[in-house]
Amino acid sequence: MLAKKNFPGRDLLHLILQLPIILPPSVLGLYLLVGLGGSELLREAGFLFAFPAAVLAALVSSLPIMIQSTRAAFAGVNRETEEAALTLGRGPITVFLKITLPLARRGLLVGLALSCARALGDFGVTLMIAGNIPGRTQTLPLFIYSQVESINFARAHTASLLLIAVGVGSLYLVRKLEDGAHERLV
Amino acid sequence: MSDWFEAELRSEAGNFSLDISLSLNKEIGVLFGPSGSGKSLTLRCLAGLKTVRSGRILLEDRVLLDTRKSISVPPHKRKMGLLFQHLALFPHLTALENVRFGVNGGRREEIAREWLARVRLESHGNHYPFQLSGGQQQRVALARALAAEPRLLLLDEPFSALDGPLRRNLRRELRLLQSETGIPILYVTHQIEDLCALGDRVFFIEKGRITGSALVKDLLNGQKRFHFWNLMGWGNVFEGEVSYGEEGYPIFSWDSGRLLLKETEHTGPATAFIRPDRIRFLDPRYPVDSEIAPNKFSGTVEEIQMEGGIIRMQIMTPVGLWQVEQGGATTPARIPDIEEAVCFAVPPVAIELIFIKR
Repeated sequence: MLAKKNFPGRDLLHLILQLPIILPPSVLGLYLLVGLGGSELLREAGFLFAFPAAVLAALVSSLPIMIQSTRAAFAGVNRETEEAALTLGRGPITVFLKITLPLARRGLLVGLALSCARALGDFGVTLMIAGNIPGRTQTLPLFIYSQVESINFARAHTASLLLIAVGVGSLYLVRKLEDGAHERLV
Repeated sequence: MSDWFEAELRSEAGNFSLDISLSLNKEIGVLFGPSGSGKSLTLRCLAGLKTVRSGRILLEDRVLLDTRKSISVPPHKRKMGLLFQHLALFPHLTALENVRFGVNGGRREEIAREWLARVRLESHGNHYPFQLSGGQQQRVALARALAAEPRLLLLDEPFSALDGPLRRNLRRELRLLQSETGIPILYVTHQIEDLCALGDRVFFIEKGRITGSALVKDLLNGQKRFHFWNLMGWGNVFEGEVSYGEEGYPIFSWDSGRLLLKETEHTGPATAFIRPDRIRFLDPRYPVDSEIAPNKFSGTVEEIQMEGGIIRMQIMTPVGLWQVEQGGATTPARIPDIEEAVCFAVPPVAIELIFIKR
């Protein structure tokens, strides 16, 4: 998150947060399952194979994308612009809210759109920790899988079209935002 | 009398080391030196944007930095405005919002409008920076910096991207604003014109060290001016006279040499200053541009220094020793040897004149 700060362990943290991109979802899901299942409290609370686990799965798989775009968005804000704001006598928090954040806004929205699409489409991690329980933890990709398994292609197609629409829609949004981002820069 | 502003800094950036001390009254100080001499770094250290290894900064009666007492006031509390070379206007805010950003107190809107009016941009308040011309952007940046009521304004060559007449206007405006507000200014430049037109006091900086300081009026007219020109150790300086030649063109002549000028408003005794990096090194095999042909000189290379991508040469000619710097796009195809016969030309636009009142 802190695109511009340097602190000890930053590289390690970065590596861990990027892991979900390269690890196979099943591996990720397995260790989440082992990790979460090992805790008495979470088992009692009915966390796994329930709605919260589906949310967690979506979060884990989309977080790296969000982090990546957030970093890029903040790093893209000209440093001198922020420094100029500081020398005008405004504190770091005001500068962040009034200058950095608005200037990074488009980049942040791009990240949000991309990670939403990614979260909706997650398959592996969700299956591993939330299961495929219709009406409770069945997400659209899992629904498609189930329908194909029971040779019900029509419903699979419908669900797929929905996902494609969301995907294409968010890509279109991203394109629009990125075009707009160049307009105002001097 | 104690000075308004005193600073003493030591800092490092890569293998460059900075060791600076300067003091200023409520006046315009100019930090003058070639590119890469640490001018911008100095300003960043003063504004608190770059950490300093050791040093002390006093402004008015406040201690902004004292490394021995572990005092370091953060940039936003230093009350030091900094006008960047690239201005750093806020692209997502209008001119008025840009200026208003740094204004304190209740009547922020009103004060911001007043400042815009002062730089004659009252009708452009709703324009975004990208809708303004270069000169207008400069004025917004200046108004923004002054509206925050700094106790010292630092300027990092903000006019360097502008052409002649615009620069002159802005310089005049800056002087006017300075005398109205009384806010002292530390101005960084490598242009002698800026120095003479703006400064009350000049600090020469070279390779991260202050090599001397002087009052600008002494520099121009005083007895010791040759001493100061030497202190600068950079640039070609000739004392001579501007007149109209037989062909009706203005020329600058001294002891044994003469240079064709572009145009001039005055004639009479003057000092000509030619920046070494604006001299055109010529390849003897090719014909010379007719515009610069009258200002062609030949000589032999006395000394060569390579620094980064820049070649610095001392060339001895019948009309004296010249400093010539070539680098970047003007790098000669082959670096000449010591004692080699070479020729170079001085484009008339590269000659800066300072008229001396006698």
